[in-house]
Amino acid sequence: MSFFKKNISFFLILYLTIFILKPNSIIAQNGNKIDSLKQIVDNSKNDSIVMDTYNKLRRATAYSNQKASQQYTYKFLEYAKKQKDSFHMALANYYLGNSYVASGNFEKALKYYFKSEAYFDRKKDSARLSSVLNGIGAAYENNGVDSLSLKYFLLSRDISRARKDKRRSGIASNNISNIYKKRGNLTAAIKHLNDAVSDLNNPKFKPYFITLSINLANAYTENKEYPKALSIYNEMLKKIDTVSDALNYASTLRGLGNIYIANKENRKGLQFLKKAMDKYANGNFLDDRFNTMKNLIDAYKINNQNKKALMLFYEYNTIKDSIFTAEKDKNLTEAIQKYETEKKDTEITKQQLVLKQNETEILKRKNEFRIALFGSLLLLITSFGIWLFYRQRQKLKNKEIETLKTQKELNKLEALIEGEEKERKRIAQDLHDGINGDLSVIKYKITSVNQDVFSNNEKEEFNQAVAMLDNAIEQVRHISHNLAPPSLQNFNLVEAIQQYCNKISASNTLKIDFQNYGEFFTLNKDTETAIYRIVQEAINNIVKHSKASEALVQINTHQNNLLITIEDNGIGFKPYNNYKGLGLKNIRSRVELLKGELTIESNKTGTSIQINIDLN
Amino acid sequence: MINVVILDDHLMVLEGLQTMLDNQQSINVTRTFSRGRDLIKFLETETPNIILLDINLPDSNGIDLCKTITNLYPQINIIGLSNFNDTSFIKNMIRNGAKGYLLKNTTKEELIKAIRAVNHGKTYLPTKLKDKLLSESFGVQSSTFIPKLTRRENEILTCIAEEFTNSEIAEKLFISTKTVESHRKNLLQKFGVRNTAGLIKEAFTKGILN
Repeated sequence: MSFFKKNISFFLILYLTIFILKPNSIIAQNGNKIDSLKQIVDNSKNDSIVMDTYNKLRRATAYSNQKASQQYTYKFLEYAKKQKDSFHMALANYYLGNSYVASGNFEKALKYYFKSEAYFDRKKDSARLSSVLNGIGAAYENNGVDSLSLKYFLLSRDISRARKDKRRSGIASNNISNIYKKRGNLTAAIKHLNDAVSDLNNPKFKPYFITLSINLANAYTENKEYPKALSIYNEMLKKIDTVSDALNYASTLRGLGNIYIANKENRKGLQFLKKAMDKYANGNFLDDRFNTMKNLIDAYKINNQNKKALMLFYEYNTIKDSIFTAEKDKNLTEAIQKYETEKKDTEITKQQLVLKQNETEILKRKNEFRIALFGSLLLLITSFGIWLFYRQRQKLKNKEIETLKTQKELNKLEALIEGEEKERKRIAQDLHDGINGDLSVIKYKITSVNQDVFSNNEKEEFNQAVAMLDNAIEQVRHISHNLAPPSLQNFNLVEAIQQYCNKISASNTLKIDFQNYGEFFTLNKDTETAIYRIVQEAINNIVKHSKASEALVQINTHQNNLLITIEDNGIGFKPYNNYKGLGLKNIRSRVELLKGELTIESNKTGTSIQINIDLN
Repeated sequence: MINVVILDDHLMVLEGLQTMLDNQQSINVTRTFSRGRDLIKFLETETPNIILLDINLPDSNGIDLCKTITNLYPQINIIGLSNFNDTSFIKNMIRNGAKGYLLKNTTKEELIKAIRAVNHGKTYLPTKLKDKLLSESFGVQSSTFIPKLTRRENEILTCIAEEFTNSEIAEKLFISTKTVESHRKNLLQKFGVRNTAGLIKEAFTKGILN
């Protein structure tokens, strides 16, 4: 019996708590309204409108979808915060408290309630403060902390009384009464319930008034104050609309039935109880019908209608079992559901974790791939760069080596030529000054001989010997001068070439025209010797091979640019065929040594050799 | 009496010359030297009539020495005596004041002839050397001389006549403008003219261009 009583009071508290502020807002919502509100939320850019709309959505879904309602309340709070609207924030906190009481999370409910309480207390909004305190009381009660619960209900009641807010004070008194009832203090419970009923005795609060009045009558009955109970029940019978308010009507009938049984008016009692059961059955209030069933069984037993009692008891037990089973099933189902949900949650979390891991893995791989790609690209470029660098360096090195080789060859050649020239000069000197001197002295000596004693024959021999001596001297001189041109040693290049040309012209069929134009220049003897040798070689070639009758040797100097031209009217040669002939090769290497430029043009009408040397 | 001094680094030559001249009347070899500075020192106190001067000397050069001596003692006559038969030596000796030039393998007669001629204020050159000098002198330019042009100069002259610029000529003949400029100057010198206008005029006159 107490189990069901507790259940009833609990529902009543919830009922009263949630709809305290706007009891008239218990309206049937329809989907269209919710959808249009959602549209407003989606389209509006005005935060305050959005906030209000969320509040409306909260209200519209409060019955149909508590969870959604709670979410809307959170949104409502969010927009209130966004606008720094502390009133609506407090309101939202209050609603959240209500929603957590409804879903059984009393800790959270208290948290939000206290936030709300602080605001309304500060603002001295006692009406709303009273509601919040009532909510806090309810949360504590359900949390099993009755003393605190009682304290808050009392606070709520006192505030409302001070404001002469009968509705709120009435509800608070009812809640207080419930606490006392639970504690078994029936007298106190009745006292507070009386307060509640008297507060709510107003046509405006008719639904509350009737419910609480029946509760009061039930309490009187329990306290065996039957006349008081009876008068209330009878009063209720007059006030209750028997069609629309089936529950209260049935409850009244049941109360009356119980009183009649208690007053030994068994038949009347049985009648009322049966009627109540039927009414409960019609209104589908099966719990109440079940409770009534026990009263009826007791009544049958008292009436000695044992068979009926037994029958009903049987039915009662069946229902009880089914209720317990249902309860058990419900609990089991809830537990299973809870377990499943938790499992699912865990799985989801796991999956999310795996997904996240996968994502991380993918990201990591992507990054790795990118790094690898970038790295290999960089490596490739670097390698290519290094390869290019080394190739370029190798090329440069090769070139350098080539240059060095050439330089070395040139140096070798230079040294060779220098040595050769030195040697030539030495031999020439020896021939010229030594042998030729000696030969001259020999000639002096011979010619000093007294020729008067010679026969004609001897005279001829003598003259021949002297002539041969002269010839020898001439030859030695010639050899010596060829080895080292004395004009070059004593004068200059132009003079030496002039002499050489003269000599060739004098001793050959080739007539050489020597011309010299331009500025006077002096060079070191080695360079002059080299140039002289080039000209000598070229002239020798002409003499030996060209069959030319005339040649032109010309030396021009302008702006330190020495241009030597050697031309002949000979048969010519193919310069590239005979390029490697010894004479030309010598010319070429000597020109190279002087860092000069050699141009050879040759055809059937003659050959032209031009040597261009920069004297700077 | 003709006082002769000989300078030659070849002692045997000195001796031979001295011997050759020893028996000659009116020729007296007063001193012989093998170094130039000894001769110069000697000349500070003595004044010979003739000096036989070698060109190749260990401490100096006969050509330079000739100039020094003739400048200091113009009354001394110098005969170059050398193994060099290049005209450059002969010309330079003469230019520096020598009155005669002999090759070292000269004969006794020629030597005496030369000494006597030079002592009489005349000049003396052996016939062979005279001929050599003359043949070279034939090459000297005259106003009617037609300069011998190189092929390149001919090409350039033609180009100039065709009003090509230096850079255009350089491009056409694959040579540098500097070389073209050099050739152009040579042409001016060869024709003995001052500018391109003169060059073209002369070239036409001489029938090189037509």
